[in-house]
Amino acid sequence: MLELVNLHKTFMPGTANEVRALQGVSLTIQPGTFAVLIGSNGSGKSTLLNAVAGSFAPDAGTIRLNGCDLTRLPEHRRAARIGRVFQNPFAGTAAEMSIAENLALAMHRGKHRSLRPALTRNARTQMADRIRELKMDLENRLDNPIGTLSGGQRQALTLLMATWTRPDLLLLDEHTAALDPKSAAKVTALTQSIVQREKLTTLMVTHSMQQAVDMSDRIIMMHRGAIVQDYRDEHKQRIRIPDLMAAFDRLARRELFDESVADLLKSQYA
Amino acid sequence: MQLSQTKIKEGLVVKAVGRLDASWADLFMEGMLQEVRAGEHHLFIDASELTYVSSAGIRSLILLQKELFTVQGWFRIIHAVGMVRQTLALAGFEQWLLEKAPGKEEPCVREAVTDKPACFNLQWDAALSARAISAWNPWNPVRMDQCRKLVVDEQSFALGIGSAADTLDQSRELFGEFMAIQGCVAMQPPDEHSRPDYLVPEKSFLPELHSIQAILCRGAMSHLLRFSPRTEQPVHSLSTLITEAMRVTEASAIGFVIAGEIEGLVGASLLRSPGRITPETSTDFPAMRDWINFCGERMFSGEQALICGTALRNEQYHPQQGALLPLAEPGLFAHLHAAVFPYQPLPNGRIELAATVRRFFNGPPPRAVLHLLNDSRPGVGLGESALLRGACWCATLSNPEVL
Repeated sequence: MLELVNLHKTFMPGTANEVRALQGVSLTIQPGTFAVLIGSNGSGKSTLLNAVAGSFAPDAGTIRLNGCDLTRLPEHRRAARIGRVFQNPFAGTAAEMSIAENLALAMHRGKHRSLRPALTRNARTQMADRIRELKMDLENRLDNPIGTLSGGQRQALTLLMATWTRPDLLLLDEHTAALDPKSAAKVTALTQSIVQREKLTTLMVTHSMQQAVDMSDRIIMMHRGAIVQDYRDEHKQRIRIPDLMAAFDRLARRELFDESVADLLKSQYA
Repeated sequence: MQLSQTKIKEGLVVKAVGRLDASWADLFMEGMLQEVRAGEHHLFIDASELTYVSSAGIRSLILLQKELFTVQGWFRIIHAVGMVRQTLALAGFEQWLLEKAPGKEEPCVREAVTDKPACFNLQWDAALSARAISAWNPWNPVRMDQCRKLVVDEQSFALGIGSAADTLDQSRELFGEFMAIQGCVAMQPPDEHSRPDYLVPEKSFLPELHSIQAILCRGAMSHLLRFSPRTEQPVHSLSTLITEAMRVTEASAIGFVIAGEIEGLVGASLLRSPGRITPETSTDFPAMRDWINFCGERMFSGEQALICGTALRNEQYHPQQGALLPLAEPGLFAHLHAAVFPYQPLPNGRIELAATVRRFFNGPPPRAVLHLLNDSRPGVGLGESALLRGACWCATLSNPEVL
C-alpha cells in the first residue's frame, strides 16, 4: 500500500520563478490498485511520481510504501521496491549493453550482488521465455545491443525489466506518449497484461483519457499541485471520457471564476 | 462531391455532383442536414450529375429520410439516370425517384427562413397564473419549514431549485436547478460528477419536487412565435424574444416556453445543495466557487434548448425584493431556466408545445440544466443567452404581483 501524507514541494522558493509543485497532496493507494494520474501540463503529476520515486526529497510530508517510510530514502535504495518506466523509451535501459545484460541487471534488482557471472545458461533461458511473451521476435537477439532496437521494443523491454522482480510499486510516467500509435497500443496491452497478472500496485501518469478510463481502477485528477478529483470504486465504473473532459472544462471555468463573477452571481443568481 | 442549392417554390433543390459512396456519404449527409437545420424540410436531390451510388450512399439517404420524417419532411431524387437510377430502383427505393421537381423549378428567394417571426394565435383569451415559492434567500440557510412540494401537471410549467427525492430530509443534500414543462422535469444534481437527470410523466405518474425556490405557472398559452435567423437579426437574444412575446400578447408580464437552437447560453448551476448551508458556512468569494459553477463562456452552441420563464416590463421593479432579474434591455426583468438537449430539428410552422416537449424528453438525455444570467460585467461580460431559430409559446401573466 502506498501512503502519501501532506506532501509539499516548492521549486526555486523565494525567487521570481518559484513553482509550488505539490501543495499538500495526501493519497492512499491500496495494494493491487491500478491508479492513473491525469491533469494538465504543470499540474504536478510527474512531480508527484518523482517524489515517490525519490528523485528529490519533499519539503514536507511522508511517503510510506507497505508500511516502510521512504521519505528520506535515496532514489537508488527505493529502486529495490519501485519499478519505473519513463516517457523516453531510451531512458530505462543502457544502450551500449546487450538485451541480456540489461535484463540481468533487472533480474538482480534489490538483491545481493556478487562477482559470479550473471548471464548463466539458466538466466538466458528465463530471459528468452519472458521475452517471447512480448511477441516481438527478440528472444533470439539477446546479445544485440539494446540501442539497436526501436523505441517501442525498448519500452516493452523497460517495462519487462521494471516488473521482473515484482516491485511493491510500479510507476509509469507517460510511458507510451513518445511511441508511435501501433507501438503505444502494444505497450499499453503489455502493461495491462503484466499489471493484472502480477496484481501490481501501479501509479501511472497519462494524458490519454482513453487509457485512464480503460486501464485504471482509480483516476486521480491533479491541478496546480493538488488533487482535485478522485474517481474510485463504483464512481470510477461509470466514468467515461466525456466525464473527464467535462471535469477539465470545469477546472478551466473555475479559473475564470473571479471576484467579478462572484459579484455578478450575488446579483443574478436565484 | 459538390453540392449546390437552388430554392424553388416547392422546396429546395440540392444538386449533387460526383459519387455518393463511402468516401463522400458523410459530407453529403452533413450538407443535407445543414439544410434541414436551416428549416428546409422538402428536398429535391438533383442526381443528373451523380454518377454512382453505393450501399453507403443509400444508407445516408435512409438516414436523411429518417431525419426528415421526424419533422414531417421528405426528399425526392430527381433527374436520376444510368447506374444511380437502376441501383435505387433495384434496391427497392423507387418511391424516392421523380422525373423532375413539380412546377417549373424556377429559382426564388428563401422566404421561409428570412421572413419576420411568424405568429400563431393559439387561444386569444388564454392566460397564466403564477405562484412563487421562496424558502431560500441566497446565500443564507434554507428555511426548510417553508419548502413546498410541487407537482407540475400537464397544464403548467415551473422553474426553480428543488429535488425529486422522496422526503424533504433526503432532499436537503440534493437541491439543484430544475425546469419542468407539462409534467416533464429536467434537473441538475448539485455536484460536479452527476449528469442532469429527468422525469417524464407516464400513466398516473406525475413527478413531484421538493422546492426551496420556484415559480410555477399554470394555464394555457395564447400565442406561438416562430423565429429564425434574419438578415438584420442573425441571432435572437432572450430580451428580443421576450420583447416580441410581450408585443404579440400585448402584456407587460408574461410566462413563456422557448424551444430553439442555441447560439450561446450564459448561466450558472449549483455545485452544492443550499440545504448544506449553515449560519457558519462561508459562501463569499473564493468559497463561492465550491458552491456554484459559472459557465465562463457562451456555451452549447448548435445544441437545442428548452427554456421556460416569466418576464416583466416595469421600470419600478426592484429585483432584490422579487424573483426576477434584470435582462440586457433596461426595464425588462425575467427569471429563466434552460435545459440543454442534443440537437434535433423542429418541424416548421405551427407546432404543439406538449408534443415538442415530449419529443425532447423522449430523445437523448439533457446535457445541462442552467439558471440563465445576463452577464453585464463591463468589458468581460458574456452578455445574454441567444438562440438562432425555434419556437416561443407565451401568454399573459394574470397575477404578476406574486413575482
